[in-house]
Parts: sequence; C-alpha cells; structure tokens
Amino acid sequence: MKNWILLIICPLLGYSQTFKSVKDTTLLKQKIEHMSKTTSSIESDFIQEKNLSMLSEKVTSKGHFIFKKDNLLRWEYSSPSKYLIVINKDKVLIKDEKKTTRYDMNSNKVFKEINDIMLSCVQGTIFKSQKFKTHYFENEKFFKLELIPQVKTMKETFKKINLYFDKNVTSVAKMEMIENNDDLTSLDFSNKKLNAAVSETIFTVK
Amino acid sequence: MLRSPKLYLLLSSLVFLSCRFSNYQIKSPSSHKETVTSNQIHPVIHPAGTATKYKASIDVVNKHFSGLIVVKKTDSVTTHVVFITELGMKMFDLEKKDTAIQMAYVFEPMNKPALVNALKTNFTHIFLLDVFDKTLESGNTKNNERVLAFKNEKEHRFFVMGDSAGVLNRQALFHKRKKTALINYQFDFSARTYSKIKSVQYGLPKIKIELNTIN
Repeated sequence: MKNWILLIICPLLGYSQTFKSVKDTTLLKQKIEHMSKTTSSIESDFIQEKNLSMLSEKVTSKGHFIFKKDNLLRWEYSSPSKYLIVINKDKVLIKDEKKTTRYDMNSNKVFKEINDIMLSCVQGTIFKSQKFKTHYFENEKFFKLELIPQVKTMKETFKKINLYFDKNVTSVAKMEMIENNDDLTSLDFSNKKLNAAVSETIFTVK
Repeated sequence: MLRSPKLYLLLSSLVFLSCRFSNYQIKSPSSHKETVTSNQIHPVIHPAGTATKYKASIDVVNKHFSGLIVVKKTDSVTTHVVFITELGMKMFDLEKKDTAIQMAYVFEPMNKPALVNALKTNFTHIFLLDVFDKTLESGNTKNNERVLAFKNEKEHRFFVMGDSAGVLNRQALFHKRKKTALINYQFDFSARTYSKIKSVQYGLPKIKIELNTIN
C-alpha cells in the first residue's frame, strides 16, 4: 500500500522540488531543438486545472490532444463538457455542445496569438519566441522554462508561463500559465505517444 | 403532419400569452408587502464557502461563447460570478460587494461597454444579486400563480414561484409594459439547487444564456 502511495505522489513531488538555474543553457536549448525536430507527432491525454485564486476554487477538465507536424492540432475536452478545437494551418474549428464555428486565423488576432502559444508550447519551441524572455531551471526530475511575456498583449493577461520537460527532453510534461491576478492554469500530460502514425483526416476543418 | 401547423400555432399562442404583462400582475385584494429573504425565494447562490459550477453557453448578437461559470460567496458581503472558457481563460469576474455590483475583471477583447453592461445586468438578474432584503409586493396572479413583484417607474420584475415553498419558477422583466427578459429556473430537489437556468434578454443587445450545473 505504501509503495502505491509513493508511486502516486513521487511524480507530483518532482514539480514542487526546488529548482536551480541551468548552468549550460546552450546544451538544453540544443536538446529542445532536437526534440522538436525529431517529433513528427504527439498524442497525449491531459488534465487541466484552473485555480481561481480569489475564490480558492479549482476547476478540473480532462481531454486528449493530437499534434502533427506542421501546424495540425486536435485539442479535445471530454469533461466536464465536450469541447473541440481543431487547428489546421491557418484554419480553426471550434465545436462545443451547441455550436460549430470556423475561423480564419488571419482574420482574428486573438486566435492567432492563442494558436501560436498552443503550437509552440506543444512542440516546446516557445523559448525561441521574441514575445517572451526565458529563464532556465532544473531539479532532479525536470527542466523548467520560465517564460516572461515581453509584449503588451501578453503582459495584459499573463505574468508567466512555465514549461516542464522530463530530464531526457523527449516532450513537454507539464505547462503552467500564471495570470496577473495569480490565477493559475496547469496542464499535465500523460499516456504520451510520440511519432505514431496519425491520419490527417482528424484535422479536417470543413 | 396536417395537425402540425395547428399545434405550432397553439403552442406559439400559449408562449405569447404566458409572456403578457397582465399575466404577471397581482390581483389587488390579495397583495401585500414582504421583505425578501431566503425563505421567500430559495437563493441561486449557496451560503458563503460553497461554490456552484455551471456549464455556460452565452449568445450575444452573433457571438457565441461557451465555458464554465463559477459562482461563490467568498464572505458574508462578497459574491463572485466568474466565467472561464474551456481553455481556462478568464473572460469576466462580476463582483458584488455589499450592494455595489461591478465587473472586477473583463478579458480585454471582450471589454466593450454595451456588452459588459448587458452581461452585468443579465447575471445580476439570473443570480438574484440585487433581490434579497428588498421589499416586494406579494400575491397571486389571475392564473393563481404566486408572484413577488418589484416595480419602479421604468422597470417591473416578477418572480413567479413554483408549487414548492421558496422555489423560483421564472423571472419576467418588463420595461413599462414591454417584456425585456425572461429567465426560467429548473430546481433539483435532491441537490437543493437550481440545476438549469435559461435566460433571454429581448432588447438590444439580444442575449441568450443557458446554465447547467456540473459537479
């Protein structure tokens, strides 16, 4: 029984262990670049937790996402409600329980911004963006990239975004978005499949 | 098939008739004044410390938003109504502190005065943020429904009660004698909460809101 409890708690402890600055950031950047280059597809379950600081309340959502190079993303929530986002290059489909809406990314600045963040976070390439200043940290289990927004539109919403990679830098393990009012949205990824064959039909936006 | 148009006409007439101002007016001999407490109307918002979460669908003119609404009384005088999208982005935070109701936060692309004002008014009505401790007229309508009514020069608000004590059935709002909004409530007796709320604002901007509780 104790072993089971340890097995459950240990992965969570990794995120809370103290992080120290990475000495050789060049090597870490190279590893992330390599990960991004060698990853053609990612499939993963996720658990999203939104912590509303003022209300001391947590809203938990669950879902599944599939990414395929280049710029194909299917982000699907199964609970508490069904909600689907499909990004197919510059086209976006959003389907909730009542309505399906299609957008052209180029006609909507906010969507373009969200799309850029989602795709670059999934691929881990967000550290290359000029929109953020990146700080690199590590502990025994994870590398942590702390991204501080540098542009006005981002600064208005986010205080920082944290990206966690496992020590082998094979994929993003967790993502945290901290808003200016200290509300926090975290995304934990599990059951990952890297570079599996993915049909393009699931990204159809018609 | 031939009966369908007749049925449609009949249903439309019933809906139309149920919306008429005169249907909500209290028969004068039976009316009296009451101060609204949670005994008169079962609150939509739970006492301090317990949050209620709803799946939310909001249609404003040609814009459609979906996400989650979290409502919580954070202390004896403060209540928050927070709307977040499925992606976790906070769209607005409506705060009631004592009697003051204001938007504590609005997501910048959504921050248009007409829209913000309409959302504030609608959610204030839906969650009965401005109702308790007010003195309302109470009585029965000509259809024998129990109604609590609030009137001033411009606005008439009618709270139509269900068969069970304190359970709100619907809320109708009129500007002078013209209907401006209708809110329907569905009460879950086992959970002692309003499990489904549907609101339509008919004026400008037209707003439809649907809320369904989640665990």
